[in-house]
Amino acid sequence: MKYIKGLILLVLAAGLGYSVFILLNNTSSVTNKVENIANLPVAPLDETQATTDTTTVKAVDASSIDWTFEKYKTIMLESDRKPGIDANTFLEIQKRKQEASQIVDTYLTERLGSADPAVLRAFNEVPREYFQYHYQNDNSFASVAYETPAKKVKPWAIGWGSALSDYLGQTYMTQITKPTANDVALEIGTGSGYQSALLSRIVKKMYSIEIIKPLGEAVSNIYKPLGYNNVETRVGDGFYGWPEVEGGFDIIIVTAAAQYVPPALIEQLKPNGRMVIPVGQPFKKGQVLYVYTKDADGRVHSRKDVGVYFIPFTGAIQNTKAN
Amino acid sequence: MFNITKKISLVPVFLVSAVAVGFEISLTRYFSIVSWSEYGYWVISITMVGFAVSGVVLSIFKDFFERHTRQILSIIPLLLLITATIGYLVMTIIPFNPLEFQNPNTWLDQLFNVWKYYAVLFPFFFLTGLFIGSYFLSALESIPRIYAADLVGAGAGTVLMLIMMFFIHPFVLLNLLLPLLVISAFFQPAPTQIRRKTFLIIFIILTILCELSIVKFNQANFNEYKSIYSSIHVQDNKTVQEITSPRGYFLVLDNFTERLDVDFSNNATLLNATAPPSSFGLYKDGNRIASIPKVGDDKGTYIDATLDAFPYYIRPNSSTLLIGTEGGFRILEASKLGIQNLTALEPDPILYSVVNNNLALKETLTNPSIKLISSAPMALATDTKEKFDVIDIASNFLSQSDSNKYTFTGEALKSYLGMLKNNGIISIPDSIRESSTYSLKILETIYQTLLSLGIDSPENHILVYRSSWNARILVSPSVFTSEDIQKLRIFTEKRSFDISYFKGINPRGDVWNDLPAVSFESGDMIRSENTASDTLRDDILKLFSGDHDSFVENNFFRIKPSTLDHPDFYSILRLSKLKTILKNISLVPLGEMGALINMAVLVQAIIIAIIILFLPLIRWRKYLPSTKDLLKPIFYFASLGLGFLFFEIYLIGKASFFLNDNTYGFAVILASMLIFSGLGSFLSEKYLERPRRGLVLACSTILLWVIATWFFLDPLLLSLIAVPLFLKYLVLVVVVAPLSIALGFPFSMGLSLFRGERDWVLPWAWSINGSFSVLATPLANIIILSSGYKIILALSAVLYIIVFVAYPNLQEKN
Repeated sequence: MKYIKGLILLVLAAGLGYSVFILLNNTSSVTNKVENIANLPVAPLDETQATTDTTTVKAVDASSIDWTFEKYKTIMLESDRKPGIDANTFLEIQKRKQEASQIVDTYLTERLGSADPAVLRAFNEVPREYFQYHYQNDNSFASVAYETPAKKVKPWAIGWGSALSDYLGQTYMTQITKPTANDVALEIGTGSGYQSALLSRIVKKMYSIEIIKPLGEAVSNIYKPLGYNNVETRVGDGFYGWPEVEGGFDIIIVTAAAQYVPPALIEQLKPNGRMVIPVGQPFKKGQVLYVYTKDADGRVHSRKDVGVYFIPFTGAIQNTKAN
Repeated sequence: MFNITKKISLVPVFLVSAVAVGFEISLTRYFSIVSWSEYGYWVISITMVGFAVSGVVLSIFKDFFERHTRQILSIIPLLLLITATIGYLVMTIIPFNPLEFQNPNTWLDQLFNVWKYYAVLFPFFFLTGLFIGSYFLSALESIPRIYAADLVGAGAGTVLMLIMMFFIHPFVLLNLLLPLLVISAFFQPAPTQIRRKTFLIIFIILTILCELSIVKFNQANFNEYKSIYSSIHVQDNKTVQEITSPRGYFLVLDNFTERLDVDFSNNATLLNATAPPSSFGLYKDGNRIASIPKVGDDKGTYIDATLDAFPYYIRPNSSTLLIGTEGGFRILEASKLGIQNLTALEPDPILYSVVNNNLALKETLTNPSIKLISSAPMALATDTKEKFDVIDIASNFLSQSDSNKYTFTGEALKSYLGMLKNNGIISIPDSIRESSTYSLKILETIYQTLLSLGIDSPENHILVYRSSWNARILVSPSVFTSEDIQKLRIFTEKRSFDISYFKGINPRGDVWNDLPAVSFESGDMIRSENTASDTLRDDILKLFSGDHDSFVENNFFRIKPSTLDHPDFYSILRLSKLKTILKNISLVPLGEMGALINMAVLVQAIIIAIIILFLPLIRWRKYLPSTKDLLKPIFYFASLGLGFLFFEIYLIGKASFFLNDNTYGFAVILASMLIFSGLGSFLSEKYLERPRRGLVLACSTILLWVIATWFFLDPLLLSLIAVPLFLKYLVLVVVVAPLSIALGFPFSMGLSLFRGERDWVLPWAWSINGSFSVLATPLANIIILSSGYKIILALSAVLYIIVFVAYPNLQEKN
């Protein structure tokens, strides 16, 4: 009988303790959510307004960066983010990067016949760990950057409904846009910033638009400390593209939620330009890519590319080891 | 032995059952909104195992529960209050992302999250089972009454939830249920160690704290990968309207991302077409289901560039039936494209209300030649003699409601053909973004339907054209002429769309929008070098060739026609190919994931059922009867668990079609079955001394009902499909009542047998019934997906024959 009494007291104590705990926990209520959403700051409604949020990055040449843990830590703090790793973890990441680079090389060769040296160079130059950050939770997941072997490669959530795609898919997508040094590129959906960082190492100028303000603003701060001076970002509506850029774009990457590509983007695509549209949910092992090309008459041909679906599990890639 | 007393209040059982079912329904709504409904079903179904495990625990620790029955029954409602609140609040912070299940490198983390859900929800359902099981054991002579109170309470809980969903936000439905637990305490003695008044005061205080916690601190929110998430988080978003309803949680949003989502030509500029207009966005449970026109924002110049416009060019100035209105946009578009008169169907009452009350449509809807009706297409077909030139199904109609799948069945198609003029056209949409196999399924449905109507060469009556994203399939009772085909050529060429089929199409014609084949088996993309291909065209040519039968039979996917008995649109996976499917799960269209989740739940349920079967046997091995006496209760209670749920799932499917709504179909059937089964259980008390007579009466009623249903239910529902809604509810209740009363007999009669020396068998039987109930749902869903509804009906009959044969004490009583 005694322990029944004890059980009752324990339950009551647990219930009261729990209630105090949650009363102290300062979170918003369900009923307030709709009101909070409605009270968000005013968004730019057209391209003219949207330009007010433009952030032009002016910094040192990326190639001059000596990539050390100290440098990583400094520029993470400079971009208002927590480094999240120590020096040893940083070194482990660099070792994995060598292996990842070989995996990318083999992967692109298997899927596309050969790996574009410019894409490989960009992959080696851009520190992916710097982009592995969950913005909504405000924490870094750099420690797991360059996951290997190939069969472990996966996408990562970065908050606000956005995802950092796996690095094989991103290098694949970069290569099929056929980037060259004279190209001007536009990305709709900045996300983590990694895709635009990769392209920016190859093309002359990179523009990127993010629709979610907290994500777009946070990511706009990360290029400058890294020394990527040819990237311009903006928070706003990608539907209208970036009409201020004269002459249009050679490359456009757009994440399409709708059943069509906004006409403004097709207009801003140069003749012989390439538009890549990943479709499907972001956590699949790969995504379908629609590749649009614009002929000299202004008419568009589309190609469906499912190459990134298939990350081979056998053969050379799985057996690839770091030197 | 447990105390046997007839002086027992049934109110606590009634209330606790109402709370348990109410909580389960509220969890269903929760998962539909924050996640996707099929994943919620996964979590909830396995959590219900709590009932089954409680029976095992009661059986194994019989002596303990025997000694402390009063204390346990008194304290459990208090524990339910706390476990429900903590379970629910912790559940809302589990970072579950179901999308990661489609990636072999991320699914394991999500499986851990599912287990976390189990961990936090299990205690509540376990305690509920323990409470009801203890009630049975504490009053063995009153088992039929207790079971009746249990079932009627569950039915009442269903009705209560259904009503309250109109008024209460789905994330705080639990608040409504918690006071019922306090009320239950008033009908029971307090634990012996504490004064009743003190106990009740503490209970009330804790209830108030729990209520406040749920309102203020729960973290429930939309999954960040649902379509509403980015829209609701862009700057200056305004929530224009919020509608809570059993059909779903609806939000109308206004922000700069909201635009009409229509399949639109890449040549818009060359056609002098403007971009599709801005709109409001209508979201149901976080999924975007329609664009809603804004006043003065529709210039209409985009229409000429849309994929859906062609039927209006080929049959100008037509008498038109719209099935689904795209939030009203299709009404405006059809008006601008030129129609003689227009009937627009919007079967969902909430969508109907939003469209009907939209100021942007006010002027158009006052036009006497335009009618907007809240009716399902098949209901209209039985109710009208009007003939149409064009029947146009909206491109997002299928995704707006699960019950809209019936629109794509052979029977529905036949009814549309009956409403067409001789040279009329039905225009059917299909998304080919994920897979073009669904277009083949629709075409096979059309092909078989036309054949059944005596049309010898159905392929002459079909046109298919497409963009990169969507296909439109046109069907006519008449043969499409060369003039029709020439018009389609001009239409598609101007807009860079492609024709995928007409009789005599060049199989190697140029393609604007490349659509390569992907081999599911090898994972390879099949494409001719440097040329764009059209796998839909290639497949249709095979489908309509002399090798039709072998193409259908040997296809990796199942492309059998949709019928009312086999209505699921997303059911192209073959179970025989499961290994390959799991290997290439990234290729599986999202709509098919429900079938795979059913498989996962089934595997887990089988493992649990095995454990539940054997654990008590190990504990009571010294007292085991003969194998025959042991097998009988196993078969008896397992068949009851499976059979009851099979009937329930069969009837929910039929009711969903009849009411054109899954939620109401579910609620009417569940509530009616529970309440009438409760009545049956209550009536069975009269037969405890003559159990064979009661069982013969119940099983023969069930078998007669099955025979009548097999032959007459579908024709009955079809003939009454256009009657007023309240009559439909009445029809369903009348259909369900005799079956359910009979279903209420066998369980309580079976449990009542175990009074006396073998009373450890009683909770074990309760747990067998529970575990097979868990198993029944995924099993029935898989059978329906692969073989249709009638097989479930037949299996239910077989299960109740087993019940009759396996009645544990039948021969002895004789």
